[in-house]
Amino acid sequence: MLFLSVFFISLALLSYEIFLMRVFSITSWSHFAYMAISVALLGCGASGTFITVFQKRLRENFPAAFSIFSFLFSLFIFFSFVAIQKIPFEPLQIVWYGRQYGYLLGEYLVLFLPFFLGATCIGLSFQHLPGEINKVYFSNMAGSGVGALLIVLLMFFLSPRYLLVIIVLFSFLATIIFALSLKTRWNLVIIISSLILAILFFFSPLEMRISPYKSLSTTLKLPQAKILTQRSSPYGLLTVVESPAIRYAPGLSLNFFGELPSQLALFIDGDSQCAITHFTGDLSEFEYLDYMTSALPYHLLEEPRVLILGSGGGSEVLSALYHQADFTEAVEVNSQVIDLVKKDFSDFSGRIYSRVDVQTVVAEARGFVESRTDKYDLIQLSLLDSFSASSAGVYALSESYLYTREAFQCFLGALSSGGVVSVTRWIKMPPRDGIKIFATAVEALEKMGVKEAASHLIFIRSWATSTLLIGSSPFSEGEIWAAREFAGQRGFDLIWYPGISLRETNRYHILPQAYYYEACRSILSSKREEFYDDYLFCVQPARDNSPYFFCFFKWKFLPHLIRTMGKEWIPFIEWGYVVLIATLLQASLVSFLLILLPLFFLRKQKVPRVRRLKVLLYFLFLGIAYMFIEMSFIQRFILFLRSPIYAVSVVIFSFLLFSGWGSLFSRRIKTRKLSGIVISVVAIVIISLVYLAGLKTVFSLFLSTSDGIRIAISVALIAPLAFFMGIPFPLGLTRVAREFPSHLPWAWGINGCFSVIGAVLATTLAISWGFNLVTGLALCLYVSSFLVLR
Amino acid sequence: MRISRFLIIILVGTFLLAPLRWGQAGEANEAVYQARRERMVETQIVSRGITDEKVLQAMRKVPRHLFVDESQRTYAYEDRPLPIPCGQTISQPYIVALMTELLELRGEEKALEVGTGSGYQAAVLSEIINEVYTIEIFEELGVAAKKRLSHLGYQKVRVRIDDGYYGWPEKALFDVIIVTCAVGHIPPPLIEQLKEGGRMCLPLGSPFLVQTLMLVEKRNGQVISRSILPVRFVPLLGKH
Repeated sequence: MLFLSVFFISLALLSYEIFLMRVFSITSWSHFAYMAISVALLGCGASGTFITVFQKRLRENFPAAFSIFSFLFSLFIFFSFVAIQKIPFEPLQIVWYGRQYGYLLGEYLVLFLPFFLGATCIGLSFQHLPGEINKVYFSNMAGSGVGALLIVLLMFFLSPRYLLVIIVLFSFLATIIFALSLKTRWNLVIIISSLILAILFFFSPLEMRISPYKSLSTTLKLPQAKILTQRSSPYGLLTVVESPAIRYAPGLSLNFFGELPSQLALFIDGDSQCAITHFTGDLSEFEYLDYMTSALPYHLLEEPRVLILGSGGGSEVLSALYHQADFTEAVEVNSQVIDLVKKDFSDFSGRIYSRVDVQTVVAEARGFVESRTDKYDLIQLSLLDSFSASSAGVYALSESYLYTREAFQCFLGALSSGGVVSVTRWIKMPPRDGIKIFATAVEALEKMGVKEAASHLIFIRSWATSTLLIGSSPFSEGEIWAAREFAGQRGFDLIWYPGISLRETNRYHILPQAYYYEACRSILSSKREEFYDDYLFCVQPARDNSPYFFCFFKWKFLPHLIRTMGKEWIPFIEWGYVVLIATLLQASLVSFLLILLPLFFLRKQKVPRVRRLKVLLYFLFLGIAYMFIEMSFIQRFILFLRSPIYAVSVVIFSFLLFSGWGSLFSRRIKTRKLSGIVISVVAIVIISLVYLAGLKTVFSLFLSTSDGIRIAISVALIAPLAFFMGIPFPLGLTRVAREFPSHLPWAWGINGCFSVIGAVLATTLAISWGFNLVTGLALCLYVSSFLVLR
Repeated sequence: MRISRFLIIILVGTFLLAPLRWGQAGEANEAVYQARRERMVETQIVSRGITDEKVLQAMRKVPRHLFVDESQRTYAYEDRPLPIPCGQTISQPYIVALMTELLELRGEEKALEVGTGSGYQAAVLSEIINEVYTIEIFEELGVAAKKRLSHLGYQKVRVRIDDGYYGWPEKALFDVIIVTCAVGHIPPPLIEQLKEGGRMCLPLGSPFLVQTLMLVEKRNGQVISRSILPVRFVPLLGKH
């Protein structure tokens, strides 16, 4: 019964973590969620400290302690969510209002409690069954794995409110299962209370407090604004809002004086906005689409075959139709977006997604292009992120495989002769995105063997957006003339075309200096590396190994920014990256305290300092190494599985489940000469190195197979590695339990703390040096862990 | 008995004298706020290079603390944006001053503001010019701003609760337009309602974090815009 109870507690814990990430993405911005939840996860580390300090009392009263903590765990899952909705923390105000730090601390404490309580139950189980640590760990890992998969699957069918209730029910189930094994009169009290509370929670009204500064909140205050429908999935909460005041035309030319058709706003997680536009069948109503920078390619191509990556509400599809595209394929990762336009608002949208000349595909854009052999005249990368979020740098931690050098090579490879890739981005000051896109295009062309990359590029900007055209072949005189005409008539500035001069730039939307043109010249010159190095922001192209296009932050310019701008540097900072570093610092600080504190209580135990240090290093290395490998593999599988959601759920599920199996069999994995730890570390190193070398080849062989086959192959590939990764921890813990049992909870806590640090550190390192380095470091840590415990 | 009489005298005395005290406190407060405004202008606005005396005078005069919620009054003259209802903000004092200066007001212009918010920017404009028209789409803000401006004596400011996208055609053309609720595109009707030679100003960025000001000018029928960085921006490309 205890193993089953641990299984369900672990299930609830991991589900709750993923659930909170989803909720924070809706109510606030995901990078702050990252910060708060990382601290909350340190509750696992704190449980080790707590059990160490009170271990005698807890050991003697294990049944009562487990019952109480598991019961409280269920309660606090519910109440911490309710409390979080009451705390008025506003990330955007944190720079200006000191009290926001207090609210943030409040969020930390509230989130910390359920993780602490749940992890204490698991820690107590390890302590209670020192001879069956491998089985407890199996239950823990298997429960977590199932939790990760289950919650993501449920997100497709249930709204966040019901997801929370399901998680609470699982946690109460854990409490009830354990209570059934007790032979005291209290078990009945616990069971009845759990059942009553579960029913009460099920019927409780729950509301999410969405930040008033998210676009959805302000739009809902517009006249006659009302929510027409909402859809929820792991890809986000979709909200369609109607109001006569909704108009969406990013970067519209100041020379356009016509009317915009009526539109519905489509929000993803209350922020990223696109529009579903009313289409009566009269394409002339969409003249405004010809006054946006993204219309440029249509003036160079005749009746092109178009591929739109990220079709959203259909604006780019309408543009293709307006410009008489021959055929349009619209790729959208979120099937619910397609459904909304195709079914719920089919009349309003004029059934654009059901036309014979338009085909919709639900897929991750990059994976889709890689798996196809078709050729296109135009590949459009849509502008789907919101300006305000983008300008605040909140996407800095978001991986994107659309804007890497390899992605551009892939898109260029999918073009017909004379075809064009078109990329539109928001204009930010000081310039960042556009310059990085240009650099990525230049390096992609060069990598493909193009000698004169400059002749394959045309780059324009309005006051709000920039559009870069990358040609599969050099642009002709006629095409350049058409681009100049297009830009001139609309008051768009030319940034680059083959043969451009400085005086042709910076004429309509005047910047203090011709930054874009000068940056393009530097990138195309022999001084490119110097330019990358000297530029205020990181504009070096992102690579698949480090797919953080949106991270522009440079450490070396931080003192310079503060010195020259004073407090005014704040609006220009990349908040996502700053939050990541703050998370790493606070997690390290709290972990340091949580690990040191038990040593004070263990000081009377006669354990040599060297042995203690070895325990510390062993579990520290394992905690970080496990997360490094898991995070690296999520990244590697995103492209293969063609969906970040599939990748996260399949990889985490497989790792946890098979690590659990590894733990279960850990005592049988040994030979006369080699211990289980040695065998597992050697196996981890060999398998990882083989994967580093050959995984790409395997992926390319199966890239065009069905989702089911690719998921099965992914699970099969992860299984052996995860199996061996599940062995060192239970074997190490068993050894600690045998040699100095009082240190067992301490070891469990160390692993918990460094798992959190490992996850944050993996992203930090990957942003600067890529995931290959993260994997390499993980292998070094596994080898070191074995050497430490030898 | 004596004690209770003594208490009654104190209580009655307190009630009688309180309004007087409060009045004095109000005057004292006003003096404090005036001093804060002076300091705000010197340390946040003049020090950053705003020189237009009309703008400085207006910033010295308009009681910014009366345009925010009571809970925000302490911060009213600090170098920060302030939250107002409907997810909107009042820009930092310096940004308000810079936007006003960029409009190059002489005194006889007619101004349109889209996005009244609290009414603070409109009040600053009306200290310099005679005709200020302001439109607010959020009813809650519009009603409060109308009441506030009227109460503070800004009779020259005409407030309308409407969708500012279409401007104020009955009063067009305008010499200057301020759009404080910048969206992804500039409404074409506003450009049409801008007089030849007129100026339009918009802050761009996210709430609480204005990054750039955009200045739009109509010259010889052509619309030209420019980005104005509110900060000293270090040259980026000097070496190449």
